[in-house]
Amino acid sequence: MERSFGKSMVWLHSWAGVVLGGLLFAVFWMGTLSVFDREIDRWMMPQTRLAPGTQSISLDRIARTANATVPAQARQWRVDLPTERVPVLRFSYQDSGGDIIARQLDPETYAFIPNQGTKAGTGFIFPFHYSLHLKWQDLGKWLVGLAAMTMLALLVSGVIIHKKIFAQFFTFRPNKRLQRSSLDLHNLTGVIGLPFHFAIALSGLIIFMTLYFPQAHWGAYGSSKQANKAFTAEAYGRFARPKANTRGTLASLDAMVHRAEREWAGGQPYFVRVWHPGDANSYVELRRSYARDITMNMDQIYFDAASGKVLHRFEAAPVMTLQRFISGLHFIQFEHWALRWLYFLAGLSGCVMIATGFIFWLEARRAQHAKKGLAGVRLVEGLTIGSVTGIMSATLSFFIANRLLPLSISFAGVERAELEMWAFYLMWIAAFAHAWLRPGRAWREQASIIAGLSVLAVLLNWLTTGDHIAHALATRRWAVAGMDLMLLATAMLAVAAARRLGQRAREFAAPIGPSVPVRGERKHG
Amino acid sequence: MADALLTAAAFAVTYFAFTLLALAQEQHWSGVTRDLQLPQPSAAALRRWRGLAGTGLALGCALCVLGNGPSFGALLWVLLLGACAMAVAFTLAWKPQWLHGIARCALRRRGQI
Amino acid sequence: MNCKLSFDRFARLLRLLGAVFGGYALTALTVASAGAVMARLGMARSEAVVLAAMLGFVVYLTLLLWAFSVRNVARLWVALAAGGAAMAVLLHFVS
Repeated sequence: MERSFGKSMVWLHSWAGVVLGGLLFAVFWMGTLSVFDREIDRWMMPQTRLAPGTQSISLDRIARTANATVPAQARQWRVDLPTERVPVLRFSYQDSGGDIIARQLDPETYAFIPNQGTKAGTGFIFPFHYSLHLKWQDLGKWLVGLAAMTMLALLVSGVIIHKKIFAQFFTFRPNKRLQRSSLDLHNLTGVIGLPFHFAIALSGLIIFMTLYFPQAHWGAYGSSKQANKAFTAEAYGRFARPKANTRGTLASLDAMVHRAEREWAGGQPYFVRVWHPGDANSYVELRRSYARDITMNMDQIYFDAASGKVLHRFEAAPVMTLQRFISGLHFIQFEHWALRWLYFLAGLSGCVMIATGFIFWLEARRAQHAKKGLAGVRLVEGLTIGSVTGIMSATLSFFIANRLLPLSISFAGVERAELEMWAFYLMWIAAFAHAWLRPGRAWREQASIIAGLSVLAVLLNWLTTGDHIAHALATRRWAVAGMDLMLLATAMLAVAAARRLGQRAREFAAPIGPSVPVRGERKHG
Repeated sequence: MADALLTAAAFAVTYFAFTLLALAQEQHWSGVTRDLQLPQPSAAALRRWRGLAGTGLALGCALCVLGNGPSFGALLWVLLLGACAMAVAFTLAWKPQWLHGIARCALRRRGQI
Repeated sequence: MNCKLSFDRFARLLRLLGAVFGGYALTALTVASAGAVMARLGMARSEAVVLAAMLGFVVYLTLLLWAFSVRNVARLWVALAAGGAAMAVLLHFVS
């Protein structure tokens, strides 16, 4: 087969890239958007676009609401406190059947916010990133894991086959032929982004280590269910006690919060959960916020519901804390705007790396495949266009459907939230079909479609909510303004890309000679 | 406000450091100084630039840690390195004339030719 | 000529299966053994398992890269089998 190490790495890099690049782009694209998932939530759920609350939250007040709302035999209810990025309270409970019902509360009035009928960023985009919404046997998570391992192998093999890694560290020649400039950009984003891409892929895998290595504890603990429970309890902390099946009371939650803050030397809880509500053996779980740290600590305190006594306390051990630090590098739940924007840009660079890898592969083989009548380029080009511009159009359709569908709509028994997701998938399929049916022009046309959809989304937000950019900025609704501005930036980039691709197409009409600047290009002005 | 300024300063210093590293490479020096009729930098000049760049990168790290604490600061610095390197690459590709001033300055130090 | 092509394809498929599935199996065995060994050596059990699991991904990456570069597909499978057997024996004695 391959005669040398270098050649085998070239083979691995090309094949892994072509076969899994589409999946990788989807994961990277959704991951990049997930950096701002909570901001996307504000845009897609207009009634949650609240100004940050001024008064402190009274959990006892919420407990009264819970008492009235939560059904009799519920297993637990919980409330997630508002943060800098999430101005509403998230209230949820699990009924006796195990289903989870979630609502949102206004932190000033403690009134329920009407069901917004959407999964939005945190419910659709973010889970798509790590599970592809393929729940059967966790197939989606395993595919994402495969993609992550492939990304690691692609990065290492890429470094090995890139001979001029230092000499071309800053090299980007956008005026050369598409094959050359796409390779330049691929190398640029790959090498400069190498620490980020490697750390992101590896940390993503480490987050799900118990899924990907479910047998990890078999040696040290055994393979029985008890062994699994013991490992989970020792590593992640668990506390449970069964119901007494007699009535009980709930002491002051606010007092428990104060006690927890003292125990945590000032650390504050980010959520409160009441287990077996109304039962004599009910207990309350609090976990410490990690808004100011990278490490997603696992500090938890359990209180007896009736008396408020501390029942159990847990903190992660050192190696587990390292796992939580590495997870935190990926999850970025901390409040730090400069870092958040840098992660977003780094994620975009990953998307560019994958897309330019495809483009280079296509351009390098286009002439050869056309001459030999091979179908490879045609097939991969359709795959690329659908995977890159296609998923972008699909995402924009998701946003547009969100603005167009009335709040209480349902169609053929399908709920509003699912209808939005249907818009996503149908547009994605259409993009693939378009890519395979109109090979020469699909890139340009899809770039134009993206531009159009982006502008449409901004207009629809204005029309349906009245929150145009100036208004959003004036009322300090940064999330909404940010989303609209990003959409407009996308439109501008898409227009520029469509123009550039149009020029390239005209260039290809001329015979390919030695690398020449593209005619009609505006020189550096 | 102070940490925003420190972060901005870190960005500027790191961008400048990467510019020096790029100018120390022949193809980028030619690309930037194409219309300027400047002499080629000597080997000693290149060594100085690279040394200065290294100092700049370290200073950028210090500024990040100063403004953001050790763990956030280190993380910020690593990401800033990537952002600045990309920014320099794009400057070289699309607006090399923006670096004319730095190129002239770098040669002029201590009358070095 | 056709015979050689399909042999090449078959060899490539074997290499892919060996790398992805064989490599994973060997890594999983190694992770379980490593967790047990480190626990035996005095580390807290849960800590040992978490460390082994985290390192497992790096081990798998190394195996993948090696599997795609080793000259002989047969050698790949022999190495995977031998490694797997060794880890299984170690696991048996340590757990």
